[in-house]
This record gives sequence, structure tokens and C-alpha cells, in this order.
Amino acid sequence: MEIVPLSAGVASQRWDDQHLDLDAAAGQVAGAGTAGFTSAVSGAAARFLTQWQRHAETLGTDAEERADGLRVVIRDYVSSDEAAGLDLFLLSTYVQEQR
Amino acid sequence: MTTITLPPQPRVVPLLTCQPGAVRDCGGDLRAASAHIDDLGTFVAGDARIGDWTGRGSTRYHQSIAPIGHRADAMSLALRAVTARVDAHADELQRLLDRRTDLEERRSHLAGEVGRLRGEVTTATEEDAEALQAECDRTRREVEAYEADLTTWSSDLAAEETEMVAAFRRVQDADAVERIYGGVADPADGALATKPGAGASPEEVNAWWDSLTRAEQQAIIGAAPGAIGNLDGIPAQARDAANTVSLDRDLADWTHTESLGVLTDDERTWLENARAADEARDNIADRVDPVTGEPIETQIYLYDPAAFDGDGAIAISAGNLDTADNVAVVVPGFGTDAESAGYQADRAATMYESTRFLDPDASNATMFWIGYDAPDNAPWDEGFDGAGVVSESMAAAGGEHLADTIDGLRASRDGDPAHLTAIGHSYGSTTTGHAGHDQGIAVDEIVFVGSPGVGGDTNNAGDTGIDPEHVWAGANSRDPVADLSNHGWIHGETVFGAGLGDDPAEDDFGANRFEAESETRGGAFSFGDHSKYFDHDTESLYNISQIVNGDYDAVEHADHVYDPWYDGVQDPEYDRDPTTPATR
Amino acid sequence: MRRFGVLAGWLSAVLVLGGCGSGEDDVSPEADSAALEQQRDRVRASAATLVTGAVVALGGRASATTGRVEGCESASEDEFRTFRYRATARVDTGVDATRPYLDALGPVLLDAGFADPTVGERPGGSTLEASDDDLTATASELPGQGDYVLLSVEGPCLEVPEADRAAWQRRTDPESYL
Repeated sequence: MEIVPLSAGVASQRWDDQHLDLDAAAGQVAGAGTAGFTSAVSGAAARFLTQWQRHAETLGTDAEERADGLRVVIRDYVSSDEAAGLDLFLLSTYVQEQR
Repeated sequence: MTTITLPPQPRVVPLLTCQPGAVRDCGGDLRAASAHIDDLGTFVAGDARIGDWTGRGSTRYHQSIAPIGHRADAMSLALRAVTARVDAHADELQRLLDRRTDLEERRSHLAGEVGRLRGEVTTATEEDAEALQAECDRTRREVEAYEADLTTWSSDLAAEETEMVAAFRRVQDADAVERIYGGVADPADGALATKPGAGASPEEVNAWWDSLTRAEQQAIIGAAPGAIGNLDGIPAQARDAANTVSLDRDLADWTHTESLGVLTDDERTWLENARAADEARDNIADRVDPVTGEPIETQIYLYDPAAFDGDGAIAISAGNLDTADNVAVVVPGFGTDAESAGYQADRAATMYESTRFLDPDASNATMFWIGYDAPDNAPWDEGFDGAGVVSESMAAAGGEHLADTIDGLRASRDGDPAHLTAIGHSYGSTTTGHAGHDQGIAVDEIVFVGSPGVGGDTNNAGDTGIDPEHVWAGANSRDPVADLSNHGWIHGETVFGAGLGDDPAEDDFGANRFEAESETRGGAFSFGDHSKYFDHDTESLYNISQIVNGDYDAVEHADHVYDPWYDGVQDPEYDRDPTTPATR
Repeated sequence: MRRFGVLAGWLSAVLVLGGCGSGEDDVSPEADSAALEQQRDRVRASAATLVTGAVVALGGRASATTGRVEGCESASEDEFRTFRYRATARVDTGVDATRPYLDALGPVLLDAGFADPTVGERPGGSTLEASDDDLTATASELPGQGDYVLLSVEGPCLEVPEADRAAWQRRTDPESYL
């Protein structure tokens, strides 16, 4: 089995951070008001914001999936018989999602 | 009987219901969101790569993340483009509103004229006819000119609305984003590649910034605000735009994380600092210029919520630092950190109001500067901690930061240099003293108020590095902190090696002392009197404002503190009745 | 005249002042945030009447018709002890208005309930000030700056309980009072 380095665990947490940030970005887009636009523009603005909220959420979901994927790889590795190395204990702390 | 042709009634100006400020806010939210998305692209290209992982798993992982980065880069560019269009839309709406106001006034005037002429026609005689017709013809021409301008205004509004709608629709769907922006190089990347390295002078930084196109500058502000937000040499307006993106992004991030209950301790501290910066920005923007009656312009010049082990660094100005005739930088002292930004912003706004009130023909900017690590322990809150408070080391380090900030302000301005004043309050005066003595700050005036000492090596006004005529000191006779500085030839420094330096209000120091008593001063020493120097309608604020404005003749001078060998420290101001000069 | 003893060096000051304890001024027992809340309501109502009257009298239009809580007297390095409410406005005059604009505002002040309008000066211009009980209204005209007048209504500085100071300092009031 391939050795999975500790940096994979670090990367999984960073993907989680990206997920949180992109969810926040989606919230920002959703919260951007359209009241300031004229009536001729506000409809297009509202539709744009709705779509882009989804775009940001989709990116966030992608980021979360990368984090989850890395955790699966780490979990498989630390529970395998071939696992070895000084970083094994530290790597096991990344098996669970922290946030 | 002569027939008189009357002018037509002018058409009514159509309503224009919009709020440019709200549109600009919408753009701000989109810009902050685009910065988040750009961060993802940067992450995928950098930290997401696991260099020490090899094998098929690694290959699969790296292949799976590349499209995400590609998509994030394209989306960031698309959202930035829409944001730029929204900003331009807000500006154009404001212009259209202003034009509408002018049109409405013209219409009102013309309608009155037409009504008057119609009335006169009913009572006119044959002798009046020729003159009346001439007047009607003149008014008709004015109505026609008005009508033409109204038509132009209406078509300009329609064109602007059409362009804005098109910008929204152009990149509404993910496919369109990919088709237009997929694989397109980010103009920010190329521009940042030419950025001067660490250690570059503010002049070099400014020359680099000026060499960029507007599109490149906007791209950096949207994609990498942290690269320029706190960089000395970048103009204040660009720093403000970048720091606004950073602040709005941080608030969104950490507030969202807090709502999920997974905020770390460090993030909680940073969020509190970000909220303080937000409050400070609002506190200034909420006030109005005493000359124009319009909201005071704010600029976030420094924003780093994690600086100084979480104490944070924030500097926000009331007024435009790039263009103001007179610029004041207020350096606060004991117990100040980013969380005090809201109160410091009130002080800055108050000083802005006072300087503008006293000289309505000069433009001003006043910036509070929490840009150094000040002693945490405020004596009046926590009692004196000699070991922590008395040290000058924080002031020395802060003086270096202050000098860098001043250099940045100088280098980033085009045109005439500002009349620049550094105002050090409390321990901030020690910091300012060090900035003068150690760094030779490039200011025109130095003002010390409520000083516990201006640094051990600054023994007289000339040691600050500027003309002693432009070194000023204000000390309320009831301020116990001002009394802590060294007096005479025998004092804490000479006896114990303690203290923060000499009293700038003392005769031996040689600064100009100005009146700084408060009508609400206590009967004896009171720490409350240490904090009143910037309150409205005080002698101190009045005099500091005159100094900032360069109106030296208007400054009310006070006799110096002195320390005769045969008695204790004497303050001639102690028995004088305080006044309340108007500052607003 | 005398500030301190002859050996009032840093360390002796530390000892003496350390004994002073907190630098907070004493808070009066009657300090009450409700009074400031009432002041806010009265100031906004008065400002609305005054500005509406000024717009009619000057044939103009009002802008920046907002109010805010402002700190008066500082208590320490990060808070105020007293606060007041202040509402402001700018009224751009109509084409038919003539200077001095303040001449047209005396009756407006009286109609809004303010008594004894008094003419004064300010740098670059003149003022008209009147009071209604403890509220003060001021109209300003700055001929060198443009065709407009500035209006403000404010209450007296009021002490608020220490526990409420931060909230008052943070409070914003962006909605127009008109």
C-alpha cells in the first residue's frame, strides 16, 4: 500500500476551511441586496445573485468532497497492516472531521 | 389684435427610484465573495498540492483538484468583472440622480415662467405685445433646450440599465463563465509578479503601483487585497478598497464559522478585532462634515486583525488621506488595541469635525493609528504595573512603525504634500517622541498631549528632529499621567533609571505649550482628565485643530510647567478657569 | 499651582496613583439610559418638523437627514461617560431663495417649537440658534461654500450607566428621521 504522508491530513483540514469560506461567500452573495437597483435592473440582479449563490455553494461542496476523500484515504491507510512510520499516530488524528 | 404664441409647459421629469449607496454595497459583497473564490484557486495551485505523496492515490487526487482550481479561477474573474460593472453602475446612477435634480429645478422654474406669461397675456395691451412675444420666444427656446436634455437623460438612463442587465446575464450560468473566462490569465497574477520585494521603499512601491493599468490595480484589489492593503507607498484610496474587501471577507468567514460553533480561539479574537474595525468605519461614516453636511469619507488605511499576537492593527481615517490639505495622525496610548477602534474612530471624527469647522476652506483628514503594540495595562483600569508599563521598548518599536506609516503617506500622494501633524496621546506621545528622535519622522508638526514622557533620549523639542517652533504640548493640570513625566534635574530617571522621559510641557523642554484645561476637570488628579483632550468644545481640541490647520496665531498658549529647586513641580494652569471654545 | 511634591518621580507617582484605584468617574445614581432614548425620539421628531419647514421656506430639498448618538465626555481610553443625540440635515436652496437664507428660518424655528432665535457667527459664516426646553437647534449658512443651509438639533449630554456605554457607543441610526 502507498504511504500516505502527514501533509495529506493537513490538506484535508485546509479543504474544510475552504468549504467554510465558500459557504460564507455564498451567504454574502445571497445577502447582497437588490433594493438599490432600479426596477428595470433589480430582476436581473436578483436572478444573478440566486445563481451565483448556487455556484459558490457548489464550489464549497466540491471542497468538502476533497476533504472527505482525503479522510477516506487516511482512514484506509492507518487501519491497514502496511501502515508504518513515525507520523502514523499524528495522521490518525485527521481521520475525523474537525469542522 | 395681435396674437401671442405662448411657450409650452415643460414635461415632468420621470421618477428615478434607486439607491447608489445600496448598489455600491451590493458590489462590495460581490467583491468580497470573489476574493473567497479566488482564494480557492490560489489554494488549489499551492497548498492543496501534497508534494510528498506519490503513487496512484496521489495522481488521482491531484487530477481531481485541478478542475476545481480552473473553475474557481474563471469564476473569480467573472464575478470581479460583474463587480466592476456594479461599481460603475452605482457611480452612473448617482450622476443620473444629480442630473435629474438639475432637470427638476429647471422644469420648476420654467413651469413658473410659463404660468406667469400666460397670466400676463390675459391682461396685456397692444403696446405690450411685442415685448411679451419676445419673452415668450425666449422661454420657448429654454423649454426646448430643457426638453432635449430631458430626452438625453432618459436615453442615458435606459442605456445604463441595459448595460447593467447585460452584465448580469452574460455570466449568469456556469457554462458561460467557462466559455468566457476559462483559462484566461488573471491580470492580478502578472501585475503581482512585478511587485517590488520586501524592503522596497514606499517610493518604489508607489512607482510600481502607478505603472499598473487600472484593470491590473482593480484585479489585485479583488483577488489579492492582502498584497497591498497594508503596503506603504500604495495610495490610501487603493488601500481602503483592498482592506474593505479583506474586512468584509473576514467578517463573513468568521461569522459563518461562529454560527457553526467551530470558531477557534484565535479566530474569535480576530473576529472581535474585525468587528471593532467595522464599528470604527461605521462610527466615522455615520457622522457628517460640518461644512458640507454630507457623510464624512472614511478610508481603512491599516487592517490586520491578527497583528501583535491578536491585539490587532487598525488605522482608519476621517477624510481623504490622498488629497487633504491637512493630515493628522493620532497615536493612542495605554490600553489601546484593535478592540478600542470604535472609540478611537469617534475621536478621529471629532477632530475632523473640529478642523473643518475652524477652517472651512481647507480639506482635512484625521486618522487614528493603532499600528503598534501598545501596553495592554491601562493604569486607570488595572492599577500601575511598573514592570509592564514603564518600559520604552514598545514605544521604540512603535516609533519605527509610525515613521514607516508617515513615509508611506508622503510617498503615496500625488501633487502638493500635505501639512502633516503627528499627535501622540498618553503612551502614544512616548511612541511619537521615539519616532521623532530615532527615526526622524517627516512631519510638519508634532503634538504631545497627556504625555507620561516623550522618551528618555528626547530631552528637548529640538531632539524630535523638527523645528522646535513646531513642537507642541498640551497637559491638563489634573491629568495624573501627564504628571508622571520627568521634571527638573532630579527625577525618576536620574535617581532610579525609571520613567518614560521628560515632560514636553515643562519650560526646559522648549515646546509650545497650549491651553488644555477642561471645564469638567476634577478638583485634584483624576484619570478621567487624561482622556478629555479630544472631546468637543475643549481647549485642547480647539488648539490641536488650529495646529493641524497651520493657524498658529489662533493657538492659545499656556505658561509652562516648571520645577524650582526649592519647591515641587509648579503648573501655572492649575488655578486658571477653563474655557469652552466652540469646535463645532 | 502646585502639581506634586519635589520627589514626584515615576516610582513615587506609581505608588500614590496606584492607590487611586480605578480611573472611572463616579456614576450618578440617576444615570439612566431611558432618558437618552427619550431624547433620541424628541430630537428626531423636532428635526423632522424643522427640516420640513426649512424645505418649504427655502424652496429647496433636504439630504443627509439622519441622526446619531455621540459621545460627549470621555471616561477612559475606550469609552465615553456621557452621550447626546444629534440629528442633522443639509437643505439645498431653491432657485428663488435669496441670501441671507437664515432670515427665512427664524419663523421656521418658532413654528417647530424653538424659542428666541439668536444670530451668531461661525468660521466662514453665520448661525441662528434657538432652544426648546433642553433641545438646541442650529441653522448655519456658509456663503463661500454653496447655496445651502445646515441644520442640527441636539439634546444635552446625559450620563448613562457604565454597563450601557459600549452599546450606546456602537449604536448607529442610519434611517432618515423624515
